[in-house]
Amino acid sequence: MKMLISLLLLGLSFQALSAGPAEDDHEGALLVLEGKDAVSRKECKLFVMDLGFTGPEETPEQFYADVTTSYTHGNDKPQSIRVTFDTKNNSILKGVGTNLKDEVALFTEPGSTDLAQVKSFNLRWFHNNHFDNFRCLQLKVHEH
Amino acid sequence: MSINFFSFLLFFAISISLNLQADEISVLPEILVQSKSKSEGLKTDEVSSVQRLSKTKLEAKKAQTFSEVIDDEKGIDTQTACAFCGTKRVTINGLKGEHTTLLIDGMALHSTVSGFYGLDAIPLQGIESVDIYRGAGAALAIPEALGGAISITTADPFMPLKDLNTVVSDDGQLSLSTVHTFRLSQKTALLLGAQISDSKPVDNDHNKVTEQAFLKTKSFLSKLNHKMNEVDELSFRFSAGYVDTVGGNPEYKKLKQPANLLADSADFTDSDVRKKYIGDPNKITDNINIERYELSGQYFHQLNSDSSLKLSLGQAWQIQDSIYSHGYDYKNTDHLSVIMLESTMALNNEHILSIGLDHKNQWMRSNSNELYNDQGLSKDNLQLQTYGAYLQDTWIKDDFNEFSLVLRADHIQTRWSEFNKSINQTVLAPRIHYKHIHNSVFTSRIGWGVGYRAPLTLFESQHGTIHDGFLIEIDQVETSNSFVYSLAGQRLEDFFEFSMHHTFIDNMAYGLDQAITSQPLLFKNASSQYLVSTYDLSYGKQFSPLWNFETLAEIFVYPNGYKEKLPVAANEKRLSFISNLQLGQWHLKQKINVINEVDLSQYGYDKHYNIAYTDTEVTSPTFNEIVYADQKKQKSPTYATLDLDFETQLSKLWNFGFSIKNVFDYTQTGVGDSPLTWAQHGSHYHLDNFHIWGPLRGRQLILSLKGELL
Repeated sequence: MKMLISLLLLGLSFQALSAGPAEDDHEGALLVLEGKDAVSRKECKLFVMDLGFTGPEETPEQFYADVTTSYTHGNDKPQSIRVTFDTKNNSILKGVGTNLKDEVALFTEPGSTDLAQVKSFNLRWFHNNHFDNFRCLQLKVHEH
Repeated sequence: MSINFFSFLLFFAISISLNLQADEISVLPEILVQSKSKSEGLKTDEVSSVQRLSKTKLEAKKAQTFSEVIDDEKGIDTQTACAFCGTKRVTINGLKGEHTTLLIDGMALHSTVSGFYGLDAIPLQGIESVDIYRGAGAALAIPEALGGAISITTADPFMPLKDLNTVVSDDGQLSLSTVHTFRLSQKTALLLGAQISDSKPVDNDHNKVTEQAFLKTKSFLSKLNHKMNEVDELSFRFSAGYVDTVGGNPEYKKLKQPANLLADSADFTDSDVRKKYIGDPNKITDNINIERYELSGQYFHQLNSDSSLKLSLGQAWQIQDSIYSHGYDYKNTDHLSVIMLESTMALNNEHILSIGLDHKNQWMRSNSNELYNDQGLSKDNLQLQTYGAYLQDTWIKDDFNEFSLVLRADHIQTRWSEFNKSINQTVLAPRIHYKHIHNSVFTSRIGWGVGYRAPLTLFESQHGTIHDGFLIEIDQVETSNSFVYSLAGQRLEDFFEFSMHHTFIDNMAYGLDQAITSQPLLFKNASSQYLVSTYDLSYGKQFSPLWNFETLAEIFVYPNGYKEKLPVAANEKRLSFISNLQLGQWHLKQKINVINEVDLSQYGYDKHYNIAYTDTEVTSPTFNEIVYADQKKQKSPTYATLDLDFETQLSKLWNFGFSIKNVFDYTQTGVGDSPLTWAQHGSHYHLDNFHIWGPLRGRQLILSLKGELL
């Protein structure tokens, strides 16, 4: 399963190289998904920085991914968060940041570890002295 | 409270029955003001329509602060723009608070920056009178005066004064003030005055969030006059004022730093601001500290019997140190200096000519750990310089016709240093006032004038804009054209006055909220012209030597686009009835104020809710959707307040007073609509305390003792 995912991402990365450097690519991202913010309708992105399995069986329960987003506020931006499948709902990957305040949830096909299937994400980001909440919808793989 | 009230009635009934002798009282409308010497007083007092509040009238209000003293006078509306921080706006003719020019002894030492909180630092003791000039036309040579001007005159140290005033109320308000003059020599006199006052907060719905803040003030005034000889006089004045405001939190608590978190729905029972606040009190606390110092000197020289010269120099420093419940600290120092040279000469029996030159220099520097150091937002530092000159001719054509013509020219330079933005503009401000005496009863006044103001900062620029700071797109000075007509009639036993004021405002500065697109607040000039109109009708009659009665009806008309740019809802229709009755040794004054209903939605209050919460469950399909429920009142009701004042002379030197303010105990919180609200702001909401339309403080029983020290 991991081999298949890696090959898929490798294919995408060649495609990205052939189209030339995109001015908004997040350096080092394995996968970039772009969508529209639910409120501002501006472009928003999800960057998959790393993924894998915590065990040899490579079951969905063992799957993880480290993700960041394009949301910023001035010079501040949310940290990377590790997501895993929600035990109550296998169409949601969710995680909490190391500050124990930031939260993110990715909505995908039930049980699918193919992150290209993620359709939207919700982000709750503790920034300065309050929470900012965001919803990024209609995600598609970023085409170069 | 009811037992005390009935005890008072019993006491009062007994006392009046024992004192059947009475002194006559008279109604004296202060439309016309006595002029001083021909060259000094005539130019402003006899021709223009000036509303003068005497020392006696000011003291009768038993007010703690200047904004309370001036409230409810004809054409004046004092608004509390924020129940957490207590900032006051004193408006004339329905214009904004920053359109009022405030002068002390003829010098404009208050700026837009200092006017937000500095009005509470004005020492009340030692004020001789307050003149109100409604509109630029009435203000004549006074600079700016876009909406009009309020001029405070301090007492003459040569006048014997040895006053002591004490005011206490049942809700914990205390005020002590004293003013004393000393004749140091035949040519030199000194005035010293001091005041301390303490006002407790109000939490009418007992939900642990106050509707009016703790307010402590201290002020000191000293004035030295020296008559060098028969034609030269010097005057020096120094005043200091301290204001300490703690709002939101019902405990008097000073924060060392802003709260880490903002107040949220979970901090209120059922997310409802009408219910108990159960969160950290630090999250709802505003601390504002103001220190204000003024130093001025004036030199007056009588050149000859027909001409005089006056040189005035003044400086003011105001230091603000504040922490807001919005989660940030903000400090600033505002410095203003003024120099004025005026010459007045009577050319002949008909013309009095005045020439003046003035220069104002203001700078403001601010600092904030949270806003500037942590968030990297731009500072609202500014500098203002103006160079002005005026020529005024007062022409007394005959016994029935008087004209006053003024031409002012001002060169204005404003700079916002962090934005590299500036204004460099010259404004011509002609003003004309004409008085025509129709007969022994009726007098008409017609006035027209141009007012102006350099728009500097709107509520410290950063207040309420913590997310993204602000941008400046202001490139024009605000200007106004104001027209006034008034008809006054006065007979032996009654008087009446009708007046209408129309002010056309161009390039009005305002803050465009761009939160919906997560953009900074944008300060810009409005492209529309706004017409603000005021109509008032007053009538007073002396029914008997012991009883007089006055009534005043006012209508303020604002265009819709203007209303939404005001900080809080304004009064639109106001009616008052005042009765003065002498009952034996007691003087009884009653005042009923009736305020008409207002459509609050036109002032942006449609974004105010009692309940608001966000779905914060990140896995929920309705995550981040905000639920707003129970919108706050969108129409304020018509209401009335009644104030009663009883005063008697205990002895030749001492007066005792008992007042009941707001007898009906009417507050907007009492009718279920407190100023506390969730305010919809772009894609989110926050807690604020500015849903204000009515009285915030309920009934007060006040005792006062006023006398002369031996």
